[in-house]
Amino acid sequence: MINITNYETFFLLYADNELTADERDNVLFFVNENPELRDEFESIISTIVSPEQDVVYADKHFLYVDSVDELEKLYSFKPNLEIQYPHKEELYRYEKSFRIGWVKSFMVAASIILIVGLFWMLIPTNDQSKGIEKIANKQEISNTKESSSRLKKEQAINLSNEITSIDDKKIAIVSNIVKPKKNKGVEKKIDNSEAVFSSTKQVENSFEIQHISTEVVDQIMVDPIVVAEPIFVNNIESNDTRMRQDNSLVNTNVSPTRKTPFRGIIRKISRIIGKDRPESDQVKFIQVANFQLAIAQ
Amino acid sequence: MTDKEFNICVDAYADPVYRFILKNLKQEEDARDVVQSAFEKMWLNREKVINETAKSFLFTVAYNLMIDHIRKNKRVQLTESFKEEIMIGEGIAHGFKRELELALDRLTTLQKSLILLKDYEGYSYDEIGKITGLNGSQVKVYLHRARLQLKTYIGKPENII
Repeated sequence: MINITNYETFFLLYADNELTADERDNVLFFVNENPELRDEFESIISTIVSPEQDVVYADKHFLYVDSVDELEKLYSFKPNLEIQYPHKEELYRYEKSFRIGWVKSFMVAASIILIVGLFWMLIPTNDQSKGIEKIANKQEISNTKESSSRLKKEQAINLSNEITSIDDKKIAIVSNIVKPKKNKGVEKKIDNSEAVFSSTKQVENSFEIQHISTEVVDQIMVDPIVVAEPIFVNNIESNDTRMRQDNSLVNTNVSPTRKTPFRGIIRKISRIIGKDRPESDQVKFIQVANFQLAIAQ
Repeated sequence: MTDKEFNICVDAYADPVYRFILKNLKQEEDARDVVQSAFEKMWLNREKVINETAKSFLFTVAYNLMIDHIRKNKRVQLTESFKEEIMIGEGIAHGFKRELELALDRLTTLQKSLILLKDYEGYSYDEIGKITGLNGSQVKVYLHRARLQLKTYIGKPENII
């Protein structure tokens, strides 16, 4: 309730229009009852600022949404597509790529085939038995010549042949290599009928046993002067028939060629292409690499 | 808020907002810019704004833009220099009303805003508090102080022409 102590607050609330209708009437009644406070009440009421209705926002049409769309249409720009950059080719960039044409590809393939062919032609055969036999023949011949000339001059004989007959098969085990050279002085003939080259057996001192066929042995005039060499290569098989024809012994000192994957491939190819042809007395073959060339007689 | 509702808001609230801002800034161009920016913001937030809160939203945005404008440009002295021109342009030559304008200009921006929002738009204390970032009690206190300050200024005989 308004009284003499709180009238200013009620005057201010009256100016702020925060009083109810009854409170406003009470304020007006209080002012009438206290005329000495009327000037103060009017001074507070005079602080109310009345809006100036003549002040208006002049450009409302700019705020309308439709007008905004019209303005956007009016001030929108469209690109002139006729204007083009004249030197686009200068701006092009390409990444470097390694391209091989079909001509180059053909050249590369041909060169590879040529190289492989040359290797195949030049590399000797991998058939170990043949290679070893050939080499053995050559070395045997050379050794025979040397030893014969030497042995003729030397009279000392230090040879010990040990021929042992095993079972009834009459297999001769020769612990030393017997040189097939005739001697005018003493001729020994091996009486045993057969001495077959067969798979080897180990004997003492790790020497390899070589079984010599009797036919070969028959032709061999056992020379008391024979070079005995221990053979440290094991398990080398030889073919009887070939040994008969070659009249030679196997020199097992020749080490087999090293096997490589590349050589293995070449060997397989050579086996397919260069298969052994049946040999005959009428036709002779010359082997060049893996090729056997028939020679007409 | 649809575009039609937005245009209705333009018709209804553009003038009050403009008066409120112009009374504070005393610059028509600046006031127009503030009003345009306020409506632009309301258009951008039209999905959030409804018709019932459109007026409060506009006054709030306009008040904040005005404060930012005042802080940014710091045209206090420049405003003083344009004071006479505006008064002449508005044709305010009446004794008491001119005195009230002078008294109002002596208030702070917050006090002036509180007076204008209360007298012009008739907002309650709480509504003014939402616009200005104050609570109702603060608005009441600040507003009463402002009125007493105006009364004191106007009550002096030397200030009355």
